[in-house]
Amino acid sequence: MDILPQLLINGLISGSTIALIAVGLSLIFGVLKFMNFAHGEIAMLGAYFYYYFFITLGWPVLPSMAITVALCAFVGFLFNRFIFWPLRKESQWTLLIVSVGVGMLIKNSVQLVASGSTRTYSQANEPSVVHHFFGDALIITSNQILIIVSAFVLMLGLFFFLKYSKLGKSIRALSDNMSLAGVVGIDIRRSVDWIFVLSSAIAGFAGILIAYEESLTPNMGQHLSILAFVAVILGGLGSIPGALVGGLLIGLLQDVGTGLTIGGYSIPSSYKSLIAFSVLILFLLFRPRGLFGISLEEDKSQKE
Amino acid sequence: MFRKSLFTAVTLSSVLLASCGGTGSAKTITLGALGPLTGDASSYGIDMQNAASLAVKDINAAWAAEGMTLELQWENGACNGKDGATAAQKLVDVDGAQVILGGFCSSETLAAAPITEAAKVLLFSPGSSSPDVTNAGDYVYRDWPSDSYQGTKLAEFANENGWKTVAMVSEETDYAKGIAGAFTARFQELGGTVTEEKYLSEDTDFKTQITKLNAGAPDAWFVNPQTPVKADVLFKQMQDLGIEGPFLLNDVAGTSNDLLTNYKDYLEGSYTATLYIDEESEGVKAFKANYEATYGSQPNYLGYDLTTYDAVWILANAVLEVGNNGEAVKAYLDSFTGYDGLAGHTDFDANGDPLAGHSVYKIVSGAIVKQ
Repeated sequence: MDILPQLLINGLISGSTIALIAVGLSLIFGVLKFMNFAHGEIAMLGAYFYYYFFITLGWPVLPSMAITVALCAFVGFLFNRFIFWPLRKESQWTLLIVSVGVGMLIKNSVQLVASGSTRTYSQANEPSVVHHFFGDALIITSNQILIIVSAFVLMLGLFFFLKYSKLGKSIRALSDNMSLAGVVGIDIRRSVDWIFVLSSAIAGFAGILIAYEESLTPNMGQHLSILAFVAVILGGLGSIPGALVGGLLIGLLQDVGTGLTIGGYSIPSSYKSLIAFSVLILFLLFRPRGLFGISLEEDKSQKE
Repeated sequence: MFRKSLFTAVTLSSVLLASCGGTGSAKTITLGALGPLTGDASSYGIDMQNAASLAVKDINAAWAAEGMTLELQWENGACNGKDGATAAQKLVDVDGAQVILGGFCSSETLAAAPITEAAKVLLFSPGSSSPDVTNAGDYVYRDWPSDSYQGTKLAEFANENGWKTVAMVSEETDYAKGIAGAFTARFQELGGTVTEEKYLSEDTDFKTQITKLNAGAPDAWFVNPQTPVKADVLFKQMQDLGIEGPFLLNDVAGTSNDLLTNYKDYLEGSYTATLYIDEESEGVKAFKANYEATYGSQPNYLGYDLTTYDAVWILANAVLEVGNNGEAVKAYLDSFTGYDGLAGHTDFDANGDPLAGHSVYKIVSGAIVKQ
């Protein structure tokens, strides 16, 4: 039986979720020029908020999702207002280390409130709706289709939003040159607020999807941040299409790379992370600007 | 005789409970206790703690006449070697424990063993099942059977069913490795083939493993996780990917009440192997009633709870007779003639392993039925 189609789909599913986190990471990097390692924790927070509304309180799916996304957006806003915005003039290393600290704060708070155990949404006991294609060569559930489709739709929406809306244009202006954008009258703080609100909302939504597909633990955020970081490096720092492609690529490489048996040899599936980080190291060595990124020299010249 | 007195103690415990609280006793014996109190495995740890507390209550009721009290000093091993070793170190060095109940997870016991061995502290596990525990040390005992029994039993059972190829998905932990090793060795000996895919405890997506194994069109599947939550994710993803049994389940995946209820239809007709418990015996019935009265729910892992309950009694009897001293308790257990407790008759071989083993069970409408 040929398992390649199934492996590709599995990779696309995990890749889409990584891409959703990566895109927010990339947006924030584009403007504040630092890697926000707390970003994956927002997804974790989303998974837990949803657990609270959907499982603990027993709300229906859509209202639970809506309030989860809203809460994540609000948390993103708060983090910007009270932590990252006041520190924006510090070096990117300060911001990076602060973000690691913020991430730990979120993770440990969740652990404190919800305990460290892994949970699933399966108490809800909703059987997955399973679709078969090409006989049984490709099996996909409705939730998995939702993951892939929403990743693409959100990405497309974001792309057009940045390209054509006024707010989107000001965000792009900011990532080109923050002080110049200020000079021409763009409300910088408001735009940066929006970046955090948007990217946190997307991350929160991604958290729900991931938890449906896999499970939720307070540790999941850290893992997501790191994979999204790899995706952003791969796609090119600050590039939105790059984050999408980088995320998908990581997902596909991990699943297909460990799934395929070539000439009797295969990489054991428990070495998925090995693939992601080998790719990261190769890119950092040979193409640090990533697939769609601009080179560091160009970036510098733009900033100055 | 002993059984009778034990049974009386169990039934009277709720009555006597009020009388043993708050009385400043002349002599208190403190034993160390080590189990997974946080993390994914805390579901066992909490059950273990509950069962041990019930035993302590009953023991204190029985000891009241002599003016003695038993206490357990708990430390968290978090079901991994690192925390297990730290917890054992603390119990031995800081608390001066001579006898320790635990660890629960094999990883905890195996990491604690070198520390307790060096200090000649007795380590008694009610749940560690890795075959490696057999040779972990002279002061290491357990009343839960080694997984070499579990793996071997299921391998022989699979062979009797005419299954020739088994796809196994295993977690990278001492417990799961022990079962996988024993199963594979015996199944290959009988002429079968095992294809194994592993995952790390921090992994959450197993679709690649499942897809890869399914490509080999196995006769049967062996689901071998460390904790019920991983079993939950595995069952869900296997179900989504259209995997159909027959399933062989290790005793984590196959005996958790929550899983058997949530995946009632999916797991129908699966097989598992676990320690034989006579659920109809008066002692077990009384234990279940007492557990529910105290904690408001049925025990999630009855088998482990009963071995924990028995273990506390065995250790309590030992320290009462020979004193709270690791070497003395070891000598006591070595000249042991057996203990009739809730989990049946417990006696040890030369390695400190129990003589009783596993039986194969079939899952029928969400309950396990002995084959």
